[in-house]
Amino acid sequence: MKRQTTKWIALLTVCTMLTGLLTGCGTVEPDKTDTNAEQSSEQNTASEGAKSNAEEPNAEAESQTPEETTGIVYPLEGAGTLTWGMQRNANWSERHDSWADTHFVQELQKNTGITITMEHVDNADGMKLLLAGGKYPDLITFNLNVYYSGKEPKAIADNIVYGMEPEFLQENAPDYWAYLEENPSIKKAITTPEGLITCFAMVRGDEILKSSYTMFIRDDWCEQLELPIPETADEYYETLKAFKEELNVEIPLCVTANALINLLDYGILTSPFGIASRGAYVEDGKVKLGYAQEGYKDVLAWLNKLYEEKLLDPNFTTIEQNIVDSNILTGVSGVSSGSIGSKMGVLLKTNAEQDFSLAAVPSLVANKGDTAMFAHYDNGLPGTNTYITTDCKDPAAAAHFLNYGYTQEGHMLYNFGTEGLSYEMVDGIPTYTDLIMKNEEGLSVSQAMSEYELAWWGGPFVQDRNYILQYYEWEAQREALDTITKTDVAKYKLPNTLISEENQDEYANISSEINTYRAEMELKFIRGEESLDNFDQYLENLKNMNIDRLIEIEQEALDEFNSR
Amino acid sequence: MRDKSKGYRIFTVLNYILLTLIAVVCLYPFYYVVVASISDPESLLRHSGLLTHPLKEITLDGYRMVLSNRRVFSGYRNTLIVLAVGLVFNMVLTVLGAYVLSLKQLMLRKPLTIIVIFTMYFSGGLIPAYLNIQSLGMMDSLWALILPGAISTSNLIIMRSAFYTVPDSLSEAAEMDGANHLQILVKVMLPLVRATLAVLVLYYGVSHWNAWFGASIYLRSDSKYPLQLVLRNILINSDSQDMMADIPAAYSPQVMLLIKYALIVVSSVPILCIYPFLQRFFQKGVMIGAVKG
Repeated sequence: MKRQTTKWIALLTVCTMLTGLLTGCGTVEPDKTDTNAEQSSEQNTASEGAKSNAEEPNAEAESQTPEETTGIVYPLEGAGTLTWGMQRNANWSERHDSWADTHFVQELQKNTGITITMEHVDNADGMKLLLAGGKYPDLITFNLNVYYSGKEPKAIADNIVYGMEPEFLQENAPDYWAYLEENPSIKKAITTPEGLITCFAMVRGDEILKSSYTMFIRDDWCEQLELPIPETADEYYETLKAFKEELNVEIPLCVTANALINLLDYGILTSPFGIASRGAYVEDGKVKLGYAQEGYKDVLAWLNKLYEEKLLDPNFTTIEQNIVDSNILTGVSGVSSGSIGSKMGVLLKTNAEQDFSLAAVPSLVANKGDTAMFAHYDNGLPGTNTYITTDCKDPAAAAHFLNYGYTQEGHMLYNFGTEGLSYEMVDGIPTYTDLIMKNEEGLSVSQAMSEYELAWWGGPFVQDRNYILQYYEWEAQREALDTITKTDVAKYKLPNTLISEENQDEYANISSEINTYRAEMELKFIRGEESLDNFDQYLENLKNMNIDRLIEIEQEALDEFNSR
Repeated sequence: MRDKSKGYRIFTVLNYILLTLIAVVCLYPFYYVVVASISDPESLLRHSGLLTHPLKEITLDGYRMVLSNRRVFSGYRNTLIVLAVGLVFNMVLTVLGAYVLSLKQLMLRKPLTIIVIFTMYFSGGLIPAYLNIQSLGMMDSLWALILPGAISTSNLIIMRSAFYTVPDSLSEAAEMDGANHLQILVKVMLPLVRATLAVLVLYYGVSHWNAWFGASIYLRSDSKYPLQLVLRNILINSDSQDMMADIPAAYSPQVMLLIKYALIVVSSVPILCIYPFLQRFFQKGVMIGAVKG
């Protein structure tokens, strides 16, 4: 008897430890994703000129690109080998040891005449260390603006990235240069204060590619209640209330704390209160911080009201994304947020056979008919740029190779793959074949895409709008795109500014202190743990933490950017 | 127990109930993972709350997909290589190091010990370590997972403390009989600290089994990835919460969920099998190491 008990205890100990191990595995990654998300939401790319850009669709601009005017003829003759550093991606790494083994890169090598040797790292940390290690591949594709302190110009100053003189590009990458000349806002965003071009940029070739994050709602419920999709803050409130009272929806608005922050950062909930975004934005040439404005009190008060009336999930600070998903799928919740492709699309697909539909909620406004100030927007430069490194023996050859993505032929290969295989021209529109959309070998759409093209990720080319229109398989997703792209975000969005080197430490110190305090207070205000009467005290405290200096530094950076 | 008071018996019963509850709480996540791994993924995604039995029909698709992943088996192989070779290095070096530091007559013993302990609290940091591995030519080699962590300082201290507990007179007697240090170590000391040895094998073994970070930065080719890194990569791809770009994930979330749970089971089974057998050394050995500082 006693022996057996001991055995049981032994077994239990084992399981306890195992549990520890298992939970250990699970918790590592979400944190990481959080920081990435945080970073990315703070990251701004491109410039104010994006608006003028919007008026002439880039797709048109591309086709005007004079093809090989200065005579780079592909395949290149006597071209050598290039090493290319890149993160491994599961979309292809389950089938291939190296990206170079995919059909796409085989074609790329054949068409350009360059032989490619890949150097893969496992994750962003691996790439950062590779850069710290002092020996680089000839080319790297990476987001230096997010993962390298001091961004691209610092990488040039640190002698990692080969900074390109305009003359160098004119001579060795004429198609890319022509594209930059036609799109000065893009050019400005990737030019250092010294006038060097940093990279071969991944460019969003159309306005609809620049926004992908949205709030969405069960529009079938709205129809049932004969309510329109909410546009104003009041309508939104009424809709949530109707969900709760008339349809007995338990948690009308279900989001994680991070998603709520996204909704505020992307201005989806802040416009009705006269604030473009919770974070930094530009108004009349001045940098403003949403969370330090008087009007932010109204935003918090409004959220507090939603929270108090249990319209917003009472557990939003602790809830996990998969619970949010399951709440939406099972009708426990009616409103949530996420990316149009990887969230909305997935939810629609999962519930395809149910009575279930979703529609995007536009960024809210104060009065019906107003244009919202802000939305999710990446200024056309997502950041996964391709760089020639200082270890590259023949930068000219590398530039010849990278230029290919900006030629008409390269544009088609990078975006759609091989004609007759992965796409066909249907009424003048490149259309993915069943090889991509309904793969017989059981590859998912994104896996199949990764075999034949690169539009799903990023590289040295201009992303085509027809990619996203087909990647968004559902009508509701394409409508969502339409909904969220009708804002003034280009006017308010802070461009890809660069904090000057002497200010960087001070900036980091002030902002980390303020961010901690602010994040804590926001949640307290929303959950009513701190009365909004104390909001003035909160502003006062921000002042004492030197927020004015923070704004001043950002303003200097903006002025410097505008003067380029 | 029979002659104990009534109060004591009630206490025992309550105690057992409480401990059983705690055990259930600890066991449940594991049970959940096993049940989830054979549930219908669609219903699983929709499911919230407690999971008591497999949902809908039992499916082994998750396991089929995991085992058909071309990197799972090479991952197992690499992990076992690192485990086997790593353990030999770990144990030999740790025992030798600890033995030397435990000798009372060792010159400069105090300063040497302090220098060793210093490394427990301060390290050069990630980048210097990376540069070091790079210039030692261990990039993209399994040696990078074995040599840098060959001695874990805290384990060395545990081992040294275990040697302390052996009375000096034993080694002195051996010395009188003409034994040299190697003989004293192998024939006298080691048999007396078997429990601690078993614990260290476990500590080192588990750390090798769980390690992925070193592999993710030092290895370039995925054919050399250990199991945990392979699993991690598969798991991470289920999180497509990349705000920066709406990058599609490789699988649909239902499938991902299934794969995820199957993976956890596949990767934990070996450790689960080994633990109970080492457990009896575990309690004893940890105590020995801990009490004597």
